[in-house]
Amino acid sequence: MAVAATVLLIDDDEDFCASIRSLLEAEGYGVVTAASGKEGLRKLAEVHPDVVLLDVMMESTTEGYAVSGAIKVGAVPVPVIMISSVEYGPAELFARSEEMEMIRPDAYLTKPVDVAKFLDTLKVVLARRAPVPK
Amino acid sequence: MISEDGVRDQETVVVIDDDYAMRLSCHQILAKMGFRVEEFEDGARGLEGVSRLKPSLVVVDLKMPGIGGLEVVARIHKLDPEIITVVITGFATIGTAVDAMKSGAYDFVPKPFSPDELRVIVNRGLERRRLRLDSKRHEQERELMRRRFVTFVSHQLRTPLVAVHQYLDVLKHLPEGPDAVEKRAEWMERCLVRTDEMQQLIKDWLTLAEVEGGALTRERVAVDAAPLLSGLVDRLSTMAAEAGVTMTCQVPEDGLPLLGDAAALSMLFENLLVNAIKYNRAEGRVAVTAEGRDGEAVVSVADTGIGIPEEYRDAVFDEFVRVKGEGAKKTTGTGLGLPICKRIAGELGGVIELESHVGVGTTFRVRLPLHRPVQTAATAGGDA
Ligand SMILES: Nc1ncnc2c1ncn2[C@@H]1O[C@H](COP(=O)(O)OP(=O)(O)O)[C@@H](O)[C@H]1O
Ligand SMILES: [Mg+2]
Repeated sequence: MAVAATVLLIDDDEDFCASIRSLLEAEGYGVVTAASGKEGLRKLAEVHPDVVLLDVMMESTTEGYAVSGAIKVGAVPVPVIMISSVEYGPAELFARSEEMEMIRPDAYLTKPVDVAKFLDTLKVVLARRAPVPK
Repeated sequence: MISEDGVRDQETVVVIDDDYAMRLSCHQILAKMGFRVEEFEDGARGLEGVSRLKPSLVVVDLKMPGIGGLEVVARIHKLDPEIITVVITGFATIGTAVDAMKSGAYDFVPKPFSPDELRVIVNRGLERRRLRLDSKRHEQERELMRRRFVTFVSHQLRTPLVAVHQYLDVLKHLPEGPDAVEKRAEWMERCLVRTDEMQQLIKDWLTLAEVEGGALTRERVAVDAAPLLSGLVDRLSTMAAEAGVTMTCQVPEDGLPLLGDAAALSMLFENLLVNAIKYNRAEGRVAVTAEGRDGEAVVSVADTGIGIPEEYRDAVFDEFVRVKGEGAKKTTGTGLGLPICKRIAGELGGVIELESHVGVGTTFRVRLPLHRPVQTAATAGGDA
């Protein structure tokens, strides 16, 4: 079966990656995981995913923001869904400065993710993106 | 406020007085001091000016028609308590000047006054403003740091809980089949591991709080570290053997007297020993040596393990920091052990030093003040 889309999951928690991977694979997605921002950016260039799921606090407390920034200024536009257990609302956070506005993700979810809402968000974000010729 | 060449950064000072001559002389004195000076002839205009100009200091005449000086002072204070107000008053209204200070005025100058008198009060007032603004800024910075830390800690404590919740929620949604059965068995084990981690995190976090509050180190009794260390080495020998690590222990035969809490000291050394075993290699060694010299007890725990990369040597003493890599993958841990050790050593008047070579080994050295029991007449003679 051809995959619906390829998801790059960047998160330093192995268990979180394991459960999300199984869920997505059962839904027909292809999944690639990376345990750090650096590894994530490397795999981004390698596998050209259709969407990136991005944790915030990894090695550093703001690693996810740095990765999101790198993706947003990068040559290949790929939507980003930020997934973090940090409480504060993204609306307030990303409106705080121009720099933060630059790295605003396409969607933001809090951990643990509600499975139904998570799958919905994924579909919406994937549908929104411009069709890229493969 | 005064830069090196003696020129003031232009601060604004407002003068509110109905008396033209008084405004003029104040203006001259203050302008000479380097301020940008704005004058207003009554309270209403003055207040409007203050809220527009946001001056550092306001000079207000107490006796004015319309809105009186007292009222002006109170309203400025309400607008921004960091604005310094100095009231000008005749001798007859000294009582009112005291009222003005109760309303928030910084000080008063009785009429008539010399330029020097005004200068001194203005400078003092601005100095006080500067100090207050500085301490306010420091307070805000501290508060920001504290809030970041709270966010960080709650994230750390929540991480295992998130992992467990996500496993359970995904399990509920996975279609039934052999795959789900296999996942269920595997994930249940992981959930147990992560809940254990959560327990350990909370336990260590409480220990850290206890050390910080002084509860763990409050008791100061004479403790001989020599048997304490050899006892610990014995107790951990099984764990070491399982990891294929050999331990040796060399302590002074006549003891190593410390002053502190036995349980806290034991926790300090146990953490270091467990790390030395955990982050070692198969057929590795751990050498514990202790000696007293120059009023100081030095306890070294040296291992032949994976080492700590240079960029982590300070960070490993911070909360929740674990070196990413093989060490962290193969072991479980909270990253709170070394912060606990550092706090205990600090509370007991000591320090921990760290020397490490990646791939070769690490040595932690604990330095604590030696305890010299008070000599009684009977034992004093035997002192060599
Ligand atoms: N003896 C050692 N050799 C190598 N690395 C060590 C050693 N002791 C501590 N570390 C590193 O420092 C980190 C923090 O140690 P600690 O605060 O005791 O937390 P934990 O052991 O729970 O991870 C460890 O995760 C490990 O990466
Ligand atoms: Mg430890």
